[in-house]
Amino acid sequence: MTNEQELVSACQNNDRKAQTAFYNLYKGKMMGICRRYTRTPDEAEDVYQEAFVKIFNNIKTLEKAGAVGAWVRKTVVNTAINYYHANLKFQQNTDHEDIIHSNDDYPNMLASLSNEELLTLINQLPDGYRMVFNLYVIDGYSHSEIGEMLGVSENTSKSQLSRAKELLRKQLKPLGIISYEHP
Amino acid sequence: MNIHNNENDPFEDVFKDRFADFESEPDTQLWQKIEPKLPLDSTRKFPYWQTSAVVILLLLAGLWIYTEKGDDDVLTKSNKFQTKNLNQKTPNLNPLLSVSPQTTPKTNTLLLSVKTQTTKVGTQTTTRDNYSLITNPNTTIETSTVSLNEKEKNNSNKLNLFSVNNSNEKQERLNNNSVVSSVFSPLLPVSSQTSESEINDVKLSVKTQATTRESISILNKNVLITLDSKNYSLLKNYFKTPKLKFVIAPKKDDYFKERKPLEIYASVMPLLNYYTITPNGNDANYVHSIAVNNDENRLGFYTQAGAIFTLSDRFKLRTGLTFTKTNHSINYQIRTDSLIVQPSDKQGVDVSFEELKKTYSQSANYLGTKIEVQYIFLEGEALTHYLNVGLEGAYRLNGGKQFNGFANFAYGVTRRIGDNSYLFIEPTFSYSLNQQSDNNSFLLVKPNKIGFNIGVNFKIK
Repeated sequence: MTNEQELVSACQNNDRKAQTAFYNLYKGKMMGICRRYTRTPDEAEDVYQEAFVKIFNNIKTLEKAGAVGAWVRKTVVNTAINYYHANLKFQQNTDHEDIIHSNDDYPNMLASLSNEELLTLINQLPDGYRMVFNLYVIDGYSHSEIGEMLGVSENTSKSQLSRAKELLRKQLKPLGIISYEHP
Repeated sequence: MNIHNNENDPFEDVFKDRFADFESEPDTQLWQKIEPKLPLDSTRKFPYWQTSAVVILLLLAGLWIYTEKGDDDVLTKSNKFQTKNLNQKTPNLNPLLSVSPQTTPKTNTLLLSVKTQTTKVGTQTTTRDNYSLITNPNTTIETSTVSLNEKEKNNSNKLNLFSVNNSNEKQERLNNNSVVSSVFSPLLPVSSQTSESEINDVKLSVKTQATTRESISILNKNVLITLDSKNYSLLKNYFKTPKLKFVIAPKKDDYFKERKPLEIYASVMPLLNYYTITPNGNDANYVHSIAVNNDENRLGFYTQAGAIFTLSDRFKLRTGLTFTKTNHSINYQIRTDSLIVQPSDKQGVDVSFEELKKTYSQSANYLGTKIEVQYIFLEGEALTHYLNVGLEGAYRLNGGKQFNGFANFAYGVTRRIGDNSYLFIEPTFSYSLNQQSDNNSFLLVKPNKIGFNIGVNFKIK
């Protein structure tokens, strides 16, 4: 990790070459996170740019160079959340009360779907659901943490998660995936 | 990670496995959009040798300014001597003039010649002074030229002679050219014009003409050089060891620890002396027409090195050693008690007090120490602005023992030029807290300074 530490300290001095190297090191991971948390690739790019600018501006404050990966990840997630808050008023408030709660049939075909296909499903979730789903299922935050980050109650987080999952299942149906079993 | 995942929903696991390390290749154009928004690339990495080179250059520049000034000093010293001679002679000459105010044509010419003689005395003393400094067989030349001078004084060609003797090279060359075109030696036409041109003179002039003028200038230079190195060897030793060895390579982990930095610095400041001059006490009645001699060199330089301690986010303490080289030259007149009676016109006489023209010149080197507080009022990405206020005590190294106190005020701008190095520029005003005086204590002078301080800081901790 020494190389990474040197890279970080060079970035802290605003060394342009180091910044480029740092960018190339993290661009794939960061874009991956951005794609998950946003609805469209354009939105993802917005968050992505904002996050990188934020990272390079704030890298001076990073004290443990070893933890840079986690720090970058957290910065991107926070940027995505800020983006979500800023665009809250524009999001459509879809009512998903009509979600069918069906836990009965899981075909084992889910594994055959590509990442991009699954990503499209996540992207299509309503913004609030998508945020909670990402934060809880993929990034491993607890409901209380999520409640704090999104400014909602823990229970809202929980209910949004279950609705998100139901919605995903519903959307999987047309794809021929009715049930899923863990391999 | 999830500790809450006790129900372990396989549906969630699919997404977690797939997307925990999910990567997506961004558009290559995006970096072009991000790059301009990044913080200024203020730290173009200067390797240490480059930074050191800047410091050495600055020091060399200071030394160069100093040596330039050193040469001037010797010249001005001889000039000073000459003017003093003049000044001392004038009162003697004046009574002569006033005592014999007969209006015969003879005295008139005498008056004229005396007048010109005064200037002549000047040029002659300089030549003599210069020669007397040289301890080699060329002393014969001196006598020969002087004898020539005296002879030619009687000729009508005085002006020509003066220009020949004049140290001004331009006129000398002009003379040489015009003369050489007609005869071999520049001195020849003068002597050939006299009816009883002596062979001795011709010989001398032929023998010496090649050596005298050209060698005089060379010899003069030699004299100047020896004088210079002798007088200021102390300073040169001081300058030979720029303290660059304190530069320490940066430690990589330094970035992540909160600590108060310690810096060392070195700087050079070309300065202009800005005097406040007052007559000393009751002498105001006698001392007048005080003027700074702008022809003389008012420039000096100021160099310093030391450490900067960080007190807080906003305040720093700077302390170090300083070396100052200042020059000043002040002309003034003193009214004496002796009366001068002069014929104003045919009607009567004018009576006035005799005036002495004096020059107070000083070229001083000070070694001092200073302590200053810096207040950082603006800290930007690239530049940091601060105000600097402090006190300095300086002890004079050459001439009379003297202690001078200064209050220093500066506005500074710092720019980062390397990992741990900064360049700073400080327009500085240095106010003298006490006064200096000339030998006769006629004047009180405050040698204030205005300068443009340029230097480098190195963060060593």
